[in-house]
Formats: sequence, C-alpha cells, structure tokens
Amino acid sequence: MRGPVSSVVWIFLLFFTGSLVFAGEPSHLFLASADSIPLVLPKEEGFCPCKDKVDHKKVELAQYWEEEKAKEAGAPAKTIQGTMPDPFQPLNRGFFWINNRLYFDALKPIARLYGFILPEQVRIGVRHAISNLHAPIRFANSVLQLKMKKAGTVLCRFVINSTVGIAGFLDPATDMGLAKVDEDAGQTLGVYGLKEVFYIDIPILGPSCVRDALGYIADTFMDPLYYLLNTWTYLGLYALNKVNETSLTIGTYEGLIKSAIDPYIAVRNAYYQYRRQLIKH
Amino acid sequence: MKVIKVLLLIFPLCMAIPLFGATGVLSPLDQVKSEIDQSLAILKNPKLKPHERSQKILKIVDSAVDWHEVAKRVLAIRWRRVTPEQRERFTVLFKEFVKANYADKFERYSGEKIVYGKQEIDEPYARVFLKVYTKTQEKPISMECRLINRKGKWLVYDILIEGVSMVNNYRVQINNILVNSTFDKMLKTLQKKVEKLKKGA
Repeated sequence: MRGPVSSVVWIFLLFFTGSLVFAGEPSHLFLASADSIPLVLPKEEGFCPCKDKVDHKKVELAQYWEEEKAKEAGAPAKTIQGTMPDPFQPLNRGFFWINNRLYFDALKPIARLYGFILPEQVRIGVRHAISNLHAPIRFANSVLQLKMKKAGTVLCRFVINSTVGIAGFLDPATDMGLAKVDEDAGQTLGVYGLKEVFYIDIPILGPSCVRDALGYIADTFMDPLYYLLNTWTYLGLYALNKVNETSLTIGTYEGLIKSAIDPYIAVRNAYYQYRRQLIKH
Repeated sequence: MKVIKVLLLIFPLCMAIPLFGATGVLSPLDQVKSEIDQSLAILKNPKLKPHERSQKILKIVDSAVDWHEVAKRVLAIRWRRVTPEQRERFTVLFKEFVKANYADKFERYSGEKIVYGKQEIDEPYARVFLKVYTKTQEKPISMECRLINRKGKWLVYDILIEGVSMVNNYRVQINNILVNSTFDKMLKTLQKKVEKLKKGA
C-alpha cells in the first residue's frame, strides 16, 4: 500500500521547492484579482532590494506621527494601525523578491497545470480533506485560547466531515451551520499578548513575523500527522495543499501585487492587518 | 373651477415633496445595497460589452465614494502640510489610480452571492457588513464598508476585506515613499503607476 502513496508523494516533492511559497498567506485576503498578469513583474520604485536605502528610524517615527494625527482627524482609533517593526527590511525585500519569483515562475505554472488536470470540484474536495486532517491543531489552539464554543465547533466538524463527509472530502458541517474556525498557535500567542516583534519574509514560506513563525513551529508539533507520517510524506502533503490551494485562488496574490504602489509594503501591511483581525476574533 | 382643479392637483404634489425628501435619504445599508444591486444588474446584462459594463460601474463607484475623504485619510497628517493645490492634485490622481486599478476587475464576477449583514451608525460615520460567498474560497469573504454622511447621502470612504483596510494599506505605502522623497515625486510615481495600469487595461 505504501508504493502508490509514496510515488504520488515523490511527484509532488519534485515540485516542492517551488511550491512552498507564501505559506500562511491567507488565501482569501483579497477579493480583487487580475485577469492576465505578466510573468515579469515591473520594477517598482523601492521594489528592488539593491536600491533600498530606507532610514528605518525615520519611517517608524513618521508612521507614529501619522497614526496619531489620523486619530485626531476622527478616524475610529482601532483601525489606525500602521505597521509592525521591520528592522531587516533590505533583507526582507530580497526574500520578497525571491518568493515573488518562486510564485510566478514555479508555483503558479504548476498550479495551473494541476488545475487543468483536476476538476474544480475535486480540488475543493482535496482542500476539505487536508483541512480536516489539520483539525487537531485548530482544536488545540481553540482550547488554549479558552474559546470553548470554537473548540466544540472544530470537534463537531471533524466528526461530521470525517464520517458523513467521506473522510473529509465533503463539507456537510458547513451546511449544518458549523462554519470553519481559523485558529493557529500564532493567534494563540497573540491572544496572550505577544506582539509581532518584527516582520520577516521567510524564504519559501512567505510573509510572517516572529510571533507567527514561533506559532508555526508550535503548530507543527501539535499536529498528529507530524508524528504519524514520515517527514517526506508530511512535506509532500504540505506541497499538495499549497499547489491545490494556489490552483483555487490564482489571481488573488496577483491582484494585490498589481494594485500596489509598493508591493512589498502592501503585502506586509495586508499581512499585519489580517493577522490582527484574526487575533481579535 | 379650473383653478380649483389645478390647486387640487398641485396640493397633494406639494405635500409629497417633503415626503420624497424623507424617503430619499437611504440608510447606509440600503445605500450600499442599492449601489451593489445596480452594479450587479449591469454585470448580468448580456447586451453590454465588457468595456461598457466597466464604464457604467465606474460611474456608480464614482458617485458612491467620497474621494476627498479617501485622499485625506490616505495622506493623514500630510494632508495638512501640503498646499490646497497639491491636495487637489493628489485627490484627482488617487481617484484615477483606484479607478484604473479596478476597471478590469469587475469582469471576474461569476455569480458570487452577497449576503448583507448589520449596519452600525455613529453619526456622521457608519459601517455596513457583508459577506461574499464564492465557489472557490473556503469561507465567505467578510467585507466592511465604512461610510460618512455628506449632506444626507452616505458615501463610502474605506473598504475592509477580511479586516484589511484599503485606505490603511495605501496610507502605509504612500507614507513609505514620502519619508524618503518629496510630495511632488510621490505624485509622479503615482502618475506613472496610473499610466501603466491604463496601458495594461
């Protein structure tokens, strides 16, 4: 039985290097998307890492002032949050450039091919099944955050979708009013007061911060699959998830990049705002 | 007798005027709903060409947004530091930028369902919550429209998608340019971006 499984895994591992881009990037960040995106990104001002000569202290100070003044202008205070510290910006911009190229040159073409082979309905099923396998992580984090209602939802979803939903390929729980819960260890740390510390654009994995990177490591250790599967199968599953997810959301990331004046800052800020929002709920 | 007839006709009409005025003021939720419904009707109209569709929708967007407020919030503190002429130039340019950015996005609409949620009013501000159900997204996309009351009409000044504020996002981007550059240079960068978007569309 292990033969066919491992050969499938190996096929995905071939694509692995290119497929792990933007892990943790929320797939439903932006509704906006573009139709046709050129493979070569335009060189934006401040986009190329080599041109970057930013005085970070100046940026931070200006940011602080701007936030204060915007508050005075009468905007709801909660929404006037600018950004997180980014002391390694030149390095991060370099990694951003690498990740960007990996997305356009590797992940996207693979996801297109994958999407061409498998019908959308099957890919949605694969998404449900993989998501269902990771339910223990969401359950553990809901409990750690003392969100018992959410923990109950995760548990019920897991039981219903694993049985009635044919090993998680279908999602009857959502139809029953049990919507998917998004909880991870990065959010758990955030709930207990840990701030982002600083921004890091991790090569291959994508936008993150110290808090969420720590959370990511913790989530891996909380995942029963990490202990049940061997490392390569585990990574293969991750790669499959990445390619599958990208095939379903092609255009989302492109939309964000295309509509940005400075794509690096746009992604960093979107990540910051999105994670803050998740922690709040 | 004729005079009486005319008076009888005009009188109810006169009575109706203030009534029209009262019903003309839509709540923030109804305002957003009517604008989205109009846009969806245009998108679903098979007689229109893609170009005509986007033109018509951009017209609705144009009248639904308070561009002055958007520009002011994007510039934040710098709004006060620059001259009225620079403010005006930025407002016009930013409006052009947003419109050029979203001109081709409407065509991606493929029957997504919109469910309207609650509205919160705290004069002169209001928030309208809605959810967009798509086929390929795992969960419905949460959206929030922020509106400001301008002479009885609710105008949008920010949109949040999954908690990500557009105004906040552009504010940080523009601020990052301005810290190491001048206002006029930033306008030039924006102008270049608009031209590029227009060429690509």
